[in-house]
Amino acid sequence: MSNKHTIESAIWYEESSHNEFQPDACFCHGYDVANELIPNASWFDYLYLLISGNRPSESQSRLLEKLAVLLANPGIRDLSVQAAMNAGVGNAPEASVLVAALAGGSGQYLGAKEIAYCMSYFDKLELKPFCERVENSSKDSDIWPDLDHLPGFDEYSTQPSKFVSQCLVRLAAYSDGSCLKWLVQNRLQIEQYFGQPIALSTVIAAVFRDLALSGEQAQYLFLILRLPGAAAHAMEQKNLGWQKFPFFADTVKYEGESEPLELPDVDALIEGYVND
Amino acid sequence: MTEQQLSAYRQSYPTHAGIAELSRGSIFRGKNLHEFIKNKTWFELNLFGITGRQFSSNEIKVLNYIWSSTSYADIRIWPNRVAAIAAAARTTPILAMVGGISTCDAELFVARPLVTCLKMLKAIGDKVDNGADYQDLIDEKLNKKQTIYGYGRPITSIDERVPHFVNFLNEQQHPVGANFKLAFKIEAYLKQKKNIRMNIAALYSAVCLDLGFNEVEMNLFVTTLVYAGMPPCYLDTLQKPPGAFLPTKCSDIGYTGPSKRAWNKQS
Repeated sequence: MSNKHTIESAIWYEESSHNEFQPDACFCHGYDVANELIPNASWFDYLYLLISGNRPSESQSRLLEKLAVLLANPGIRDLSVQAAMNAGVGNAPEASVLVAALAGGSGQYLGAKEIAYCMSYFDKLELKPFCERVENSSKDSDIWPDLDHLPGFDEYSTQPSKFVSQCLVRLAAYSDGSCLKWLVQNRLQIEQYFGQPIALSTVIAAVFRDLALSGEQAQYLFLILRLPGAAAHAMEQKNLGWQKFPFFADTVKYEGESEPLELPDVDALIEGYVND
Repeated sequence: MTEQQLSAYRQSYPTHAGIAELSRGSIFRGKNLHEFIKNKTWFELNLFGITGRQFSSNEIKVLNYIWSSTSYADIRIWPNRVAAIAAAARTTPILAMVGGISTCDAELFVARPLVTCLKMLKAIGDKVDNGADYQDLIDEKLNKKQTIYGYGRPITSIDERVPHFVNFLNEQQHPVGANFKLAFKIEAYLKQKKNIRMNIAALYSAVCLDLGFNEVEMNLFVTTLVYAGMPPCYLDTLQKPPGAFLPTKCSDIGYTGPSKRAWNKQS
């Protein structure tokens, strides 16, 4: 029965008998969490169900698991991990570290937003429409900075990445979908056309398309699945200590006019106070 | 960009933001920070950081009014509610505030309405300067069923911030800018055509546009637009028992999903 506190949901349901704030049983999409999901469902079955609302096929669940292996640690040079390490090295709370990682991994360059852009490239699996989508697909322009690179392509290389190629081929082997397989077959022509190699973002986008997920669903999974590496590297740098973590003292240089800095002589200023 | 160009940034990274010279002081956009702030409030420093410009005392009062007038200390309002929920969960003040502020990238309030409205007013203003009629431009949007950002209150519902802010602008004898006029002309036209009024996004955007703000500056300026309402909500909730913030009963869930089912192994 609906009341002014009712939160409508097609996902979650709870039953209680003696205390309205303590459930006896919790159900997700109709499955009893304690007695059906814990004993029978895998993490990736459940994850897919939660994000998409549908139970995955065995093949989809396995592909998602393999993608999660790739995403689990974006690596120490990744922007989200760099942000996490900066928070970790100062011994910020664990949640603060992950907030920092989410900010660094949320954007249009190598982040969640880029994945959503790249997913639209695969609307039609033919070379010409794919390249047209890369060049012309619509981008959000409200709160997001103007786009200054080609999403899904390696901005700083003209040579294909061996790691990206390997990940593409490995992941395609687990997919029943058509996007990854099409990308394996057409990657070279795409790279020749743009004169830039594809980045991992394009491969990840193809995985999400093969998993039949929307850009919104893909962004959530991308953000969630990359957090383990951020946590690991933040803990490592915290334990190593801030003195070992680069501060770039001589690398960062101020350019332009600046006012002179003068430090007041604090000893002279407090002289009267300490010698009374 | 090439690998070599990226390597150059690794070798030497130029910045115009500022630099901390530890044990001596700090440069902030070219200013000696510790001297500069002797006659500046934090608010003025923040605006200087965002725009690189220093505003007159009248302009600062107007911008401060914009910045403060949505600081509603009401725990029901979404960013405040996040801060309060975080307090109910007994987390740190900073995590609670960051959680609340992060909601301000929303489509419903703060960043997106304000930035998109500023962008829309600028586009219309530019076209009017080149001879277009603003009513034709609005009609074009209406015909294409496009959103007219900053206008969305039913005729019966006045955004209380609009008359308060206009009153304040008059009290301050703040010069009436071209975008301010345009914003109210659009409202008059929409009132007549669609029975809708402006909301505060149109007015904030118009005044900031008249003060020379671009989209990114506007976005940065409004990051903390509702911030001041959040600490009271955090503190208020901290004084309640843990988890007692607007508690949800099991029976408050209006379930519309599938019936109970078994997780059978798929064939």
